[in-house]
Amino acid sequence: MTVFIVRRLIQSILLILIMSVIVFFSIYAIGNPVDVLVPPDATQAEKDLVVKQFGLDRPIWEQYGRFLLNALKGDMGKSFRYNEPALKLIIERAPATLELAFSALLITIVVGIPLGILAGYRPNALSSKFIMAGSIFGFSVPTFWLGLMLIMVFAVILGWLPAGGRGQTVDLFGIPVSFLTLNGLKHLILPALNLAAFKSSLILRLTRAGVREAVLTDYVKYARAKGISGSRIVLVHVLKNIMIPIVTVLGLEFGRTIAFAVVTESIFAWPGMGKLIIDSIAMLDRPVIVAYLMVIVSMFIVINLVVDILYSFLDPRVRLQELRQ
Amino acid sequence: MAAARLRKGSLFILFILLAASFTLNAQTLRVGLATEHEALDPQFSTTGATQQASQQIFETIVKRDSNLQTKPGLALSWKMIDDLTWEIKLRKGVKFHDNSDFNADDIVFTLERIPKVSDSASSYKRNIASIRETVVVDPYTVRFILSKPSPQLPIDLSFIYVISNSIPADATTDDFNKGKTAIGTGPYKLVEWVRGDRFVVERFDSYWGVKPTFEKVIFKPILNDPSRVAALLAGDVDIIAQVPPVDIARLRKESKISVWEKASTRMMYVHMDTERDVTPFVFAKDGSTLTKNPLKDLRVRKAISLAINRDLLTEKVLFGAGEPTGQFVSEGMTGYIPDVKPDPYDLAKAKKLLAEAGYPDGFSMTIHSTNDRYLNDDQVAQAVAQFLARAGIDMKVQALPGNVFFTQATKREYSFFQLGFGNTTGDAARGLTAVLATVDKEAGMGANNRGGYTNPEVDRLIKEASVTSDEGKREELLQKAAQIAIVEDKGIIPLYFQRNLWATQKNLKYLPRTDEYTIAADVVQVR
Repeated sequence: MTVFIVRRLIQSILLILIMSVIVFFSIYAIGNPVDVLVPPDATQAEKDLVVKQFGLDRPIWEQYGRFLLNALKGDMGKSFRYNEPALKLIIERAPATLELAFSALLITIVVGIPLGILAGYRPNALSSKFIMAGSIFGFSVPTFWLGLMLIMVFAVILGWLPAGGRGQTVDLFGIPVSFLTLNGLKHLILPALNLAAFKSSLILRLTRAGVREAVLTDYVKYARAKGISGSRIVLVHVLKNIMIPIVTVLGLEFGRTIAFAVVTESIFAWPGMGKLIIDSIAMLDRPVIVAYLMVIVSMFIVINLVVDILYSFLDPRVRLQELRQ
Repeated sequence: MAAARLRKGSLFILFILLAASFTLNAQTLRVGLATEHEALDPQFSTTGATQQASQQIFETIVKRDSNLQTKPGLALSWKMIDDLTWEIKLRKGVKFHDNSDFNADDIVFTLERIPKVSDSASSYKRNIASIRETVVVDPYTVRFILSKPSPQLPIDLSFIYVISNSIPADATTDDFNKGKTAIGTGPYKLVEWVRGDRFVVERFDSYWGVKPTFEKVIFKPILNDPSRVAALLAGDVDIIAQVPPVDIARLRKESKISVWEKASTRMMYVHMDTERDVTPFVFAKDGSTLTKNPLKDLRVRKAISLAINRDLLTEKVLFGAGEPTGQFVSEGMTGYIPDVKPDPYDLAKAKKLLAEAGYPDGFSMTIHSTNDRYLNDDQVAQAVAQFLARAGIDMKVQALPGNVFFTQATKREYSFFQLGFGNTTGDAARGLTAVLATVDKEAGMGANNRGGYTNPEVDRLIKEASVTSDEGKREELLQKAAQIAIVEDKGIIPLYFQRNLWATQKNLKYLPRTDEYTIAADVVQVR
């Protein structure tokens, strides 16, 4: 296990390094941040000053070298726009995004897996047909449209829930969270549902397929022959066997939610990282973009590591050494 | 019996709670904004978003009304003693939020800190560039000694937000962001700022001027347009800024919503390469290169202006959120020419002019525009292209994100492109200098002249205006420069002024402004 983790870490560092090169140079290729950052009526002298101030007058490889040296010391640079450490800006917003992602993940698991089992176990029942039809709706409706519809129905027409923003927060171990207050919870419901709609449908279908396949296998037939109850067969034996692909997809989807929840975040004015990155790209705020992507890459690496470790718990046949290749 | 009393008691409590929540709502204003400030340091960045936040907490030396005209603020009066000396009389009895008194020392402190604010992409240094020395005559009189005559000084002073000299001289932008040093004299004082989520201020009871209606104001950045409108309709916020054009008609029909509007200073225009003989995006109709750049021909530029139906453009593409123009600044601003109307739509004349210029069958070119910077910018570009296609010019449309567009436009990689200019100073001088003066890096002229227009007479007029102190004479010089550069030479083709739009709940009234600021103190209750 230790060998496995160390090896993973080395790969990860290499990956992050490559990522930083790609991001750094591609942003350089998009355009000159100074043209976007300075006021439209700035004089040339004012522009030159800004260029110098941000070190943009140096050759690109020198800028990159300097960035790398500082990054090794844990300094990802200061935002061009806010004059604040890029990492601080990202970390400030991380709790909101993480809270949203975890809520969506929870809804996905609670909704997707049980419904998937139901639909897979009795594929011909009327209820199953309803579930399947609902899931088609869930993954084919675009997120932004669903989000706006949720706002229209629950906030504008019914007036039950707020249209957006993050509600009241309380500190939990020093991290501001909103799910512990009623007001915060009300703000959380719609964006979390919006994010979970696609994922629940995906997990639901994945579970259903797994269950349908598993109920035909010999070990299920044998269990049936032994007279084990249907619910025990499904919940204990079948579920264990179909969990691996589900955990893999959940892991990937969780990462995607954190990194790319931007559509939901902007529709619901959720103060998360997604909005920050979009603004930063529009303003070519390179330090923030680079830092953000590095954080995201690291996060994906950690998630995948956790997923791999989970495999070995779920299926004792899987040994981590085998996953190395 | 006991149960009945209990019920009564809880009813009573419920009533109290309801009443409390009602009064709380009546006293709190919730604002939905389309932007968020970069910092709470009023000297960090001149961006509209940051000044919008500063406007709530701080006050500028000279104030500006909703038409951008200067009016007394912390300065009661200002006068020019000679070409290089201005004297400012300060208001007495003004208090900062920490209850310290405002006087001349605060002005000196404020001006001293501006150059020390580091790493800002849009510094306020330019607004104090002409001031060589600040002399305190007495606690309520200040003299500015200038290095060169600057008739614009009062306008420049309207960008200087006064900070208290009770804060440390080395206070950083971060100190302001955390609220430690964000101490102003404005009608509201800071409560908290959670970046990306909310910015909360509360009424400052010792404010010298008219006390605002609302005790507490919560600003929320709701960047997504439909969501901002939905928040207003759902009653989550009381007022929203930057109403998206598509929703104007709908909001006007809503019985519980009011819409407030005013022409802004942002002039949208088409800029053309009028300098080079071979320009990258203009071709003959068959795709072959032209040896002569048609855009250099005045008749072609006139034809283009006549072929664009500005009324239709603002009405259909912008849903009324634009005001057709043929000039750089809007009515009421210095440099506006009263008798110049927007070019009328005249397709026949446009075709005739093109024929006279030697292009009876037109030519082909690409219009470049942004797609994320101005109201419906890419759709406007498409409409402009269609108008020109009717005049016989084959058009291609290329809409790009602003971050790519501005870099390439500045590098002169386009031939025909559409963008905007915000005349934030309330007069035409800065715009004419930046967009139409001959490029001269040393003199700071033509920084935005991406088309290469040049006319020595225009340069002379602009330069003369910049050192003319007499208001009437200066206005005349600016008008003359605009007349030649825009009306006669068509150095650029103005299209329209963007309109600023706000929407509020019916029980509120907002004084719409020429700048885009949503000033909480200007929101009042109707009933």
